[in-house]
Order: sequence, then C-alpha cells, then structure tokens
Amino acid sequence: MGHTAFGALPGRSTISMNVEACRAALQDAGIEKDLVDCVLVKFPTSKFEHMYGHKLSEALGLQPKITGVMDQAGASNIGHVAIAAMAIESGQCDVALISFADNPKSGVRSAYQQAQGDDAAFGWIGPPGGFAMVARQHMERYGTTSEQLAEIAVTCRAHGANNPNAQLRRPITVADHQASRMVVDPLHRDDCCLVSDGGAAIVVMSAERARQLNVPDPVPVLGFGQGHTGWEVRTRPDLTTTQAVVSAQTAFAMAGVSPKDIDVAQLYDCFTICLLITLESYGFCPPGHGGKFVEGGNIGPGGELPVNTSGGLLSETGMPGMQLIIEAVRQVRGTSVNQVKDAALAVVSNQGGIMQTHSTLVLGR
Amino acid sequence: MSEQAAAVRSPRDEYWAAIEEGSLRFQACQECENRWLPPRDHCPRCLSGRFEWQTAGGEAEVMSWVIYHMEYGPNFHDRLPYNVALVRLVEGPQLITNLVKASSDDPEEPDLDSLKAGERVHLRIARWPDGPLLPLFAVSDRT
Repeated sequence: MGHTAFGALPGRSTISMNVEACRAALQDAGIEKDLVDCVLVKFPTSKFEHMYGHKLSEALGLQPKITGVMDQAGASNIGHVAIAAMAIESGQCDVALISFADNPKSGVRSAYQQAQGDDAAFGWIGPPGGFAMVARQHMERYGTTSEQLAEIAVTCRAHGANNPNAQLRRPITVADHQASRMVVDPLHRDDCCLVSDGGAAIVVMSAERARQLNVPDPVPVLGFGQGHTGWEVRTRPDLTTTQAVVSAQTAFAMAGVSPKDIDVAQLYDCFTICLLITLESYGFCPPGHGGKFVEGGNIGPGGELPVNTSGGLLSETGMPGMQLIIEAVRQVRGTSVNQVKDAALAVVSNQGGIMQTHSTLVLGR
Repeated sequence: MSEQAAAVRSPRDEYWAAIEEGSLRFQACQECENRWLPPRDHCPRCLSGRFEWQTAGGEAEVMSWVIYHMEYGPNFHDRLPYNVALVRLVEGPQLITNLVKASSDDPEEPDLDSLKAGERVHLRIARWPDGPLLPLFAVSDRT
C-alpha cells in the first residue's frame, strides 16, 4: 500500500497522484510494476472521465489483462478489492493494483454541490443536506443527540492529531464541536469531513504469489461484502438503516468472524452520523444504540472498539475510502501511529452517495 | 398511457404541468396498485408501463427535515436559513418539499423548533419569490 501527501496539492492532476500512490504501493510490496496485470481505479469523484482505468494504465506504462472503473461512489475501493480477489481466484489475472486519487480541494468541486434533480427547486442540494436528513430521523426516532455525534468527531480528530500525514491535526472537544457553525441543521461543521487532494493505492495478489515474491508483511483479505440501498433519500421508507447490514453480514460470514471478534474498525465517516449508523448496521450495537455506544471513549484508544485510528475522513483526509483500507493494513501489521495492542482483525467500511452504496472488507490473521 | 406516448410527454412533464394547474398528482400502477413518486415510465414494483395519475388529497406526515444555514446552490442566499423536509403523503408516495407557515398566504419560513417527526402537514401549491410553482406543505403555527 502507498499514498501521496494529503491536503492541498495544487497543480497535481489526478493521474499524477494515482501514479505516485501506485509507485509507493509497488515499493511497499517490493515488486516490479511489470508483474501487475490488473489496474482498477474509480474515476475522480469531482470530475467524471471516460475510460479512466485505461488512462491510468497508459501513465503506468502497462497494458493489463483487466482494467476499468466500477462506479460505486465511495464504496468503489472495496468493490475493486473484491473484483480483484475474484479475478485472481479464477485465473483471470495475477497481481492487481487498486488506486484512487482526486483533487477537489485545488480543482473543481462541483460534484459536491450537485443539485438533486428537480428537488433543487426546494434548495435540496449537496451531501450535507442529505446526511442531515438522515441524522434528524435518527435523532427523532432514537433520541440520538448532537453531543453524541460530537464524540465521533472528537475521537477521529484526536487520532488525526497523532498522525503526521493527517490534513487536519487540531484536536477538538465536544464543546468545540457544539460551537462550530451550523452547516445544515442538525449537522455542525465539525460533523462534516474534509475536502482533500490526494491519492492512495494498494496491491492485491494471492497468498501463494506473495510468498513466492517474498512480499514483506502482506495482510490477508479474509472477507468482503456489498449491499446497495440504491434509492435516493426521497424514496427511502427508512433513513436510519441501509443495506450496509447485508454488506457486513456477507463479509463477516466469508471471514468466519462476528462483530465481537473485531479488534479495530475503520468506518467511513464522511459525516459523523454515517459512522454511527454503520456501527449499528454492522452489529457492534443494536439499532438505535449508536449514540450510547460512542460515548465515554468507547470508540477511542482502549475502548471497546477503537475506530478510525488514522483520523478517518474527518481528520486524515476527506478522500473517499482508500485511506481506511490502508490504515486497517497498518493496524494488522502493527505500524499505526495509534496502534491498537495486538490488533489481529480489522474491519473497513466504504460507502457512497447518501448511503446508497456500501462495501465491507475484513482484514487480519 | 402507452409507452410510446410517454416518450412524447414524459411523466415528469405531466407531473409539473399538473402542479402548474394547482394539483399534486402521483402515479398509480394499473397492474399492482403500487403508488409512487417521483414520476417515471414504469412501476418500480412490478415494472408495468400501465399507470394512471391520481390527485393527492393534500395530507402528509413529516418524516424528517433539515435547515440549511449555508448556501450550496445559487439563488438560495436570500432565503437562508431555510428548511427542506421529506414528507409522506397519506396515499403513500414521498416527496422532498419546503415547510411553510399555515397562517400566511405567501410562503414564509416557519418556526420549526418544536416540530416532531410524524406531524401532519397540508399541501399548499405556491411559489417562492421569482420561483416556479412548487408543492409546499403548511405546518400548523406554533403557539
């Protein structure tokens, strides 16, 4: 695995950042690029580009057996891991590079201010409004509070403060969160993730191939799953649960583990409410109990379930998801800046849209 | 409506034409009795292309709501802070809307401090200044 710096990288194209991340990932795996015969990369979220996998392959000087883009928004990275694993298992390819890069901070940001069709006439615009709608229903139904959402931001920001590569390294308190300006009520600024330039990549191959190539410290993929809610917020009968439930069940069953076995979790925190509902969907707590679960340091160091140990989207980088996979790899290797003692099993969630898409990855040994 | 005719005037066009005429309509499947919004060519339950338009009675319940304090699109600066709500018609279909004060004829931003999910709201087809006619919903005045 490898990545670029995170933050503002003016003048860097997304292809340039993808190549840098891929080069770093190949160095980390200790292999030559010519072994790569599969390149999977989602086009940059902030700017659609046709045949992006082929463009990246050209920049990498590769003519792979398999390349292309599967658009699952923020769930794409784990979706690509699953495709790579299945392609390797069925003999379609041997070594896969999976990458993602975007530059919404220095480049165009229009994708993040997208009008939601005709509903733009009501001012229904952008992801914060969507997640605020979800948060309100969770609060109304279960009594979840803004202070409980703050606990999630406080934890991620504390983790990010220890991470030299994090874009935002200033820790906050619950009071700071409450004092941060309201963006879309009930969400404050500190409920919302960063906007970041950057790229990250991973290499996937079979365990046997990793042994043959003497790859240092490979981390086994134990399970993966997906579940796609698909429907937009306006047609969804219930905003407080999604097909993340199915995604997690599929991944846990494949890995032969249950939520209580997990040592550390890297959960998609584009907005605090997203992480809270993922805790419920994954079975770390019952539906409606996410607010209680995150209180009192339970998701911090030494808690029942440390989450987002590199800072997540709220603190490390707003990049959609790849950094979470990389931090799970570090935890299993024992090299995180916020290392969970003896972490052997890690779960990662990726999701996209307003919880339309979801994918889950279980790593460990 | 045949599938061919739908291509000439889309269900979306039909929906907004009815709003212009002062009624909120939704689609009802003639095969499986599903009712839905937003408008589309096929029933999302049974995929039949045979549907009819029905007029909403105007009663709905609030499923969730938010209040924008930041401008995300052009044209909304003067309305900040403004609400956006998700409501479910008693007939079943859901839609995105703005909640407005019941007591004034022109749309006005209501006080939502004591609003609860499940509260009944009533259809009011009206326009914000310089905007198109929209299906808005009136929330009872707070006391």
